[in-house]
Amino acid sequence: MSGLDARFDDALLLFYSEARDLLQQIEDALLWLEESPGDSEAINALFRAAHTIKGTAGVFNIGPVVSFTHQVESVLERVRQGQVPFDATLGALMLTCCDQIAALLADAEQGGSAAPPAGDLLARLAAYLEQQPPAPPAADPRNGTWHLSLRFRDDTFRNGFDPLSVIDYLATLGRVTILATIIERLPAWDEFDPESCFLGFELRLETEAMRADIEAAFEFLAEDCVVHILAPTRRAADFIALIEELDHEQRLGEILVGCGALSAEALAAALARQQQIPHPAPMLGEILVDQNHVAPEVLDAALKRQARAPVPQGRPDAGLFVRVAADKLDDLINLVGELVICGASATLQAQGSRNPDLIGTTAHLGRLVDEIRNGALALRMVRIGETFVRYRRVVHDISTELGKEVRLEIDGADTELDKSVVERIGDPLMHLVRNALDHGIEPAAQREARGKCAVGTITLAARHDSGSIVIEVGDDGRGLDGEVLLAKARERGQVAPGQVLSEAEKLELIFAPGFSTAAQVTNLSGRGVGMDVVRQNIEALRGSIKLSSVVGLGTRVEIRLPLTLAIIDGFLVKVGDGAFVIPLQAVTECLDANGTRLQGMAGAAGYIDLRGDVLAVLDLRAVFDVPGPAPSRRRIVVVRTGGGAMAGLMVDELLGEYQTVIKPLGKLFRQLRGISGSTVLGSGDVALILDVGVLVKMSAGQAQDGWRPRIAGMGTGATSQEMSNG
Amino acid sequence: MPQQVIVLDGELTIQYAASVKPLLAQAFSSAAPAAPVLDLSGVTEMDGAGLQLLLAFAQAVARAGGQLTLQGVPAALATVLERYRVADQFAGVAP
Repeated sequence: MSGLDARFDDALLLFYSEARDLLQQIEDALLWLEESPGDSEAINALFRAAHTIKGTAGVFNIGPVVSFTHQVESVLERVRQGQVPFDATLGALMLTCCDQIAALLADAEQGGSAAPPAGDLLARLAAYLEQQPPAPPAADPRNGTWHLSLRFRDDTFRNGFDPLSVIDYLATLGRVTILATIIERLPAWDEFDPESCFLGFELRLETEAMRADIEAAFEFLAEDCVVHILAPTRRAADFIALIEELDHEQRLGEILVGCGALSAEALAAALARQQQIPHPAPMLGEILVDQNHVAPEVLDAALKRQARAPVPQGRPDAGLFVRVAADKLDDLINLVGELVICGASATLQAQGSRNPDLIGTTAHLGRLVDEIRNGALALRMVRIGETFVRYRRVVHDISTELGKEVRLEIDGADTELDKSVVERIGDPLMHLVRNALDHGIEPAAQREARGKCAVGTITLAARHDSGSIVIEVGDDGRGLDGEVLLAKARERGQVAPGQVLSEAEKLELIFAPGFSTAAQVTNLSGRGVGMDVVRQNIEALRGSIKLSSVVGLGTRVEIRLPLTLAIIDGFLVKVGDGAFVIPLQAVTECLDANGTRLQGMAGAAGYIDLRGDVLAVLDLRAVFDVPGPAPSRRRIVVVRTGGGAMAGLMVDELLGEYQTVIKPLGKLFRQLRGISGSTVLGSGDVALILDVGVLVKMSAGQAQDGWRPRIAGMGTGATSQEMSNG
Repeated sequence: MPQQVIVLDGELTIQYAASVKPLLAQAFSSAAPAAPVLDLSGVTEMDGAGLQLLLAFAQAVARAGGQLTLQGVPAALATVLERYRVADQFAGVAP
């Protein structure tokens, strides 16, 4: 291949990668536009992205992509000019076209012809090109209508403020309608001090401004005015809350009904219900929801705009980033790992030499190596937002397919984690999101009947927490009923009839293999192969997964993962001549293993009494078939898995905490049960990293589904013993 | 019953509120009629304190069993009273 061809190929690879990014931008913009159809920024971004794809595809002579994208671009141009309105139909068509472009690109890249024929799509696009521009629409103010309740305090005048001026200022934000002037606080004439202020106002504000702008109007007033701002999507409950707070004002309810903020029936019903509910917080489903239909969707869009990042405009930070091939990064990390090990060796040898200069230099070297290691690992960190954002499309498509209204909220998109973790978190997350969509969120009608908002919300959130990353998948759906889970488990014989479980334990049942409470198995889920696999995947990443739920309110799944898989904080132990590393997060305590506490040792397993509880113990000498007599004094390291199961691992010696770079096991060693990786110590010896989950299962000897653990053998002469449930 | 007319002049604002109150208090002397009239034709300005004063006065008159009538209300003032939905506290303020 000539040099020119090679460079051309590189450029082509780059194009495919960038085209995929552009398509993602198009998809994001389309989903955004679904909720905020007037957003011209988004439409421009759409047009630019399509234009770029077309142009660059042209440079590389990818004909099918060019001609199809050209049609898309033409329609978008008309939208941009205002000649074609962007409505839901066009949005759906565009999403399909987006998929078509992706398919055409894939064909070009892989040399296939898998893309479906575009005839129908082209015809639909052509229809938009022939449309006459519609008459300009009537001016649509698109306002939000807010309700403000103001109560000025005694010193208002004395502090230099005038309520009328404040309200005049509010009028600069939009249109103010005074609903009522509240004079209930006015004292009797004799006690009335004209320099004190006793006025209150209920008013309505029609404005495009944000809540923050409205609040800013009262910034200086702070102490002198009690302000309640009720958003346009306010419910009867909000007014009830307002009435309760200002409860010395008997007339407020009437005033609100009188000015139409609240219907008399709604007020009566909600108040009656309120009486039956013990304070403080009533359940969602028990307050009547009364929505004021003055353009609430506009407010929603405005509120969302505050929360969500704006539509990306090209690549403003293009100059700040460098594209690096993933394998080059991996090579670098590997080298750094070797450097860490070698450096540790050097330090060890220096200490042995007792040469102060050498010790000093190697110590310095060690610090530098640590910094390089941290820097190199930081290179592998990616924002989880990039993964989360892909779920918007998933939620959109699946909710449409199921006929439910669901929106996706993303929190903590900037949280960073190691790229290896990101790659492997995709499947578990997808499963959880699908569960939430399929089983969690109820159909709109059911939700409204329960007093919930018709649109369900699924939340993807990420944050750092003391050296781990915490990812949450939440929904405000029907929640999980512990009783239903328990009943199902009893039916399957997984729980004994008389057994009593705590709420948390009932929720844990969902992680049992083959478990599903779905009444029907749908196309998406319900086959019951899910949650146990999810947990296995998470625990394979040295993480943990926990479920919490409130019936009727929703469910939350919390996943904890280490920040990086490349490094392990471990606890070093010795068994015979071999060194083993136990993940530090799994270690809860260390004990002396003197003979009297150990009971029922049969081969490798036994029990001890740990402060009154029975703890299964596994003798690692037996597990790994270590030859020779055991030392007289041994230790037990108590470990706990992500799921909470515990066991004691009996070892010969404790060597202390040890942080090290993990090296994956070669193919030869994949068969070993109980080992999840290896590392090289400063001394040059190899230490094996223990798989706590597998070992704990071995110790418990669970006979679930007929699974019987066998002890792994290392090297030759492996023994296998059956252990039965003690 | 003789109609007592109290004439207010100048600014009906926080600056003067304290001094206007005794003027209005005349309406509550034992010899006063139950339907006082407040002439506002000379009022040049009204702020929140002024509005409050009027409202307090109207409320006090109503508690004493009478009704306050406003006359000569300048257009700007009438607009404010309308806007703040307090016109019904007074007689004589045409909608």
